[in-house]
Amino acid sequence: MTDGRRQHLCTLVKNRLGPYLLRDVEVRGGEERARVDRHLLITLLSFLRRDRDAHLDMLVDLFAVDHGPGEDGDNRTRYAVHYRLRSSRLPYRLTLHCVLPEDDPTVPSVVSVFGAAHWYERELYDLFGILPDGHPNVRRLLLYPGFAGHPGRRDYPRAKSQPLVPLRRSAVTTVVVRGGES
Amino acid sequence: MNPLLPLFTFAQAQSLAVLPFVGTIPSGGLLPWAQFQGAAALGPAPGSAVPRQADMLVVVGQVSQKLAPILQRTHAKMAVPSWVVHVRPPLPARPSYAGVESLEEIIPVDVVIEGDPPDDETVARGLAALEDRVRGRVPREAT
Repeated sequence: MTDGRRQHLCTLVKNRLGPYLLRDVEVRGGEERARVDRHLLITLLSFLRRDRDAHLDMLVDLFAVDHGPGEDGDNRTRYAVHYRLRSSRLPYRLTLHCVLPEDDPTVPSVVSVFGAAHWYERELYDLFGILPDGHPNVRRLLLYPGFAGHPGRRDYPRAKSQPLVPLRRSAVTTVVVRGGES
Repeated sequence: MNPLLPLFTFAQAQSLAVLPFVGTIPSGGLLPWAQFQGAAALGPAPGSAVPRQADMLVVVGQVSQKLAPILQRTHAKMAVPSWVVHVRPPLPARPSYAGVESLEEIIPVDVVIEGDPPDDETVARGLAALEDRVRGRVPREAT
């Protein structure tokens, strides 16, 4: 976005949502980000979607970040969930994010506002164990039923696999052919 | 030994019906499979998509833990003798929670063709190695 448009969106969001933002709109990595309280998420998203001036009517991405255990054991800001919005008519982009504590990793499900969030929220649950409260069908999306743990979390051992079939080698030997050999 | 056996194994090696099994492909899209098909003039050709009528299973890309039981079932349904070729990119340095690290622990694998994607020559050398096995020039199992 050009600086003028960026400024315009920042002002717009500040004017309309100012009292509801936990932090001012900031620009990080070329994107506008605003931190909000998770309990206001649905209200704010549906407002931004309906508002004629913002018209942020597309949910282009929804993802979580695990920041790991905080310094001196403070786990109140362990997870963050980001909602990336775009406008289909106006040249605007905005990311709303909310921070979740380790002991209560739940967000309200936004499927009622953006249908596109359905599988994203299943992915949140699958990989991070963040429960979308009110989601119509919370199941694992990428991994299989019976998988224990959530591999997106930092405390999941990276190489720990959970095979569905017993592993054993047969008597057949394997020839490996690599490129660049004669 | 049956004097016609070399002729029989030659015919067998030249007429393998291929069943493709596409796993996850980290990069290059379907290129490994396209590359493999480009080398089909060397003998094996895609047959029907039915494991019971295939002689040769070509696994393309890394296989995830979720796909492993399906792959094992597919392999079990193939007629004996069945041959397995794995076309895959070089293994990542660090194993992942989701992928099968070595396919040999799931099904018996005859030839691994490594490359991202493998070039024609590598595919041809891999198929030559397989032909040696089918024709009995090289033993299939370690003695």
